[in-house]
Amino acid sequence: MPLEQLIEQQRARRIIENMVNSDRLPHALLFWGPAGAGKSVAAIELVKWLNCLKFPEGPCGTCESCVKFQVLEHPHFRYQMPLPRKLLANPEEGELTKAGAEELAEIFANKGHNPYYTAEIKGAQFILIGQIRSLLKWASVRAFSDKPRLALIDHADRLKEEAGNALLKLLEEPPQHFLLILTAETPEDILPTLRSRCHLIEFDRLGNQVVCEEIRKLGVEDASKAQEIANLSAGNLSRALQIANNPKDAADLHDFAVNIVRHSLGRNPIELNSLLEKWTALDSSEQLITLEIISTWLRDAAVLKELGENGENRIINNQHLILLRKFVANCPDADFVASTKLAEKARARMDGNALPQLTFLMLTRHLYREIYQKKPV
Amino acid sequence: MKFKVSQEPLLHGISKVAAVVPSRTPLTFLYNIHAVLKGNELTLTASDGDVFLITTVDVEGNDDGSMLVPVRPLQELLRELPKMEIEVETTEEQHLFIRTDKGEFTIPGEDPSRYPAAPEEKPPQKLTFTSEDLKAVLEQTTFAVSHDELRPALTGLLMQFTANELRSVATDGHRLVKLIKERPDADSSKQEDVEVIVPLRTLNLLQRNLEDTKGIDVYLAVNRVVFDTGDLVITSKVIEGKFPAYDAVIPQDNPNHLQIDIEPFAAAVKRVSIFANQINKLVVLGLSGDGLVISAEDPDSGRKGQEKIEATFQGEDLEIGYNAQYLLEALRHVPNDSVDLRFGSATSAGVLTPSEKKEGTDLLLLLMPIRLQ
Repeated sequence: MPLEQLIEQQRARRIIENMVNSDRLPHALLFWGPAGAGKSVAAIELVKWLNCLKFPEGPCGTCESCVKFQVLEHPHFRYQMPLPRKLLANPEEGELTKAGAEELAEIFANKGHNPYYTAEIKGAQFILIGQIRSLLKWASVRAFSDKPRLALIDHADRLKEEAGNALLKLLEEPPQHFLLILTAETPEDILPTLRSRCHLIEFDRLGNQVVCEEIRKLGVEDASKAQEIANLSAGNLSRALQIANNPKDAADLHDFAVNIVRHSLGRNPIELNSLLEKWTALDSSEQLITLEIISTWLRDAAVLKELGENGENRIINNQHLILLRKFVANCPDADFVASTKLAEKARARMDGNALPQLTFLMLTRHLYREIYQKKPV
Repeated sequence: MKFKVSQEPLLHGISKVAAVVPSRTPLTFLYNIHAVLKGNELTLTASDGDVFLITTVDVEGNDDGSMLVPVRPLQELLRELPKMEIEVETTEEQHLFIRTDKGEFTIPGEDPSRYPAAPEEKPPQKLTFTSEDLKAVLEQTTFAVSHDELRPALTGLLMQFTANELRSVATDGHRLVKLIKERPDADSSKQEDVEVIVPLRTLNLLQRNLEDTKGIDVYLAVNRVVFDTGDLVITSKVIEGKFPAYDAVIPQDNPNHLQIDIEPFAAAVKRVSIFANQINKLVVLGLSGDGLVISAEDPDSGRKGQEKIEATFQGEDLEIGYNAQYLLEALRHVPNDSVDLRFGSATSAGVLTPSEKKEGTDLLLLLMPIRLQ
């Protein structure tokens, strides 16, 4: 079945299948939607299908081509994602260091094993020009076969401006049998010059129930634990897998995240200090998960504030509805949209290798300002 | 897979193909050599994904099979072994087991199906060159290949094969080289005109392997080029894209003609260029009936220099500026004692050709001038 590994996403699936079946697949696509929705999975599944030796049936999953795509070792596939500068031996040419090659090889192995694996490297902020140059070099060489090749640029919103401009060349004069797919959370984050040359396909946030079922399939046997993880992941299957593989209890991480919000408002120095110590003791993936929980919590608060009872079926943390209602009622002046952005920004900073302590202190201080609309004492 | 072989030919075979193995790649299977044993012939393949080097080694085969083995430890071990016979065997766990009269060594290998494959059959279009001819083509042209990935078609050498000649063209937008080699012995009835843009890396690998060979068979298809030197086969992907219409930029009737000996001219340019601006390396050629004056000036440091050389010039007096490095490189690649330079104006391309044309060879170099203030 086409796009077999892609979970849900009926609308995106239908659009892609129609494009292929009617032989009207554009050379550049922008898959956009929330993290963990399956954008890169769809991209890989699409090119796997197009390259399958049994195309237009399939992908069969058993032919040499399908197997090589499964483990991301197919010569018709190139992947670029934000990389820290230190992993590039020559940032201008995109040549990797030994550590960079090893780190990417591990990501490929993990993503090959589980397509929903989150490909991220600590300290990576941008996709650099050298990475795009090396991609252009690969694109310029004609493949042995006429089956389509795919260049997948994950987190294309983090393309450095000069890298984005270099990529324009590929969009304007694509080689034959070539497909470029960019992924991003929102299309507005992509350089307008790139966005306007891509066909946009939206991906939806996965429902909590779907995420719950998927992580149960992957070995989380306890139904209530699986549900708790699914609720925390906010429809992000990649994140759910990270939480499921984390030894810390999912509910504990959630309580800790909500405590950070609560004590940001209380500004009790002893409590804040104690939270800061606990925060520092977390490993980086737990810190990122905590920030994401804060972000979804504040997003839910914004939905409740705007829509009242009508918004209750749209919130992610629905198992904490009573607590959320109270929180919103106690903060009548709060700008929850701005607060959500603060948490997202903090997450982006942590991705960029910012000091965890400083990120924590800035977040808690600025949250107070956005929620109470005054400067903290 | 099981065979006996002497250390020397195996090391020779592995060293031949190992040159293409990448040193840092996330595609870890490319760190390996793909070895296939059929009867008494061991075929070794190494690749970086775009270029495949294939060689064969005669062995005493016992059991056919194939395997993927990391090239570095195997090559290092063979280098350290004295000249002796060794026994090589693969185990069920895909380990390579090497036995000598005194030692036993195990190198974990990988599943051979992971390795990428180049098309096995050679394309039908075949041409044969002498090693000297191909070496001359590469030496005289590849220096002008562009390194700019934004213009991919220029990052390789255009090779146009026709029934009677091979045309090789390289350009980076500032300079262009066109070399035509006649092929009087070619059988024109069997040939179709075909052209490919061969990546620079492939040509560098080919150049390194032209020393001990006599004739080279070149097989061509739209998606690949195969160079067969006898003991090494290089199968390479080719660059996609349209090479610019180079003939349109070559001026046909430049009226101003300078004939000069290369050695004193190059030496003078080299000396004067010391005083040139370090960014644009501009040297000015002042051409008149009295000869040639080469001058350079760096306004930033106040340095300036000039030198006069004897030369035969016919035409209108002219001052034209060039990047000294490009000019020197062009002169270095003219296989003659003297060179003819033909100029149009101070802003149009200058053309260099050897004063004495070698039989069956037509070399032309084009240099774009730097506009003078």
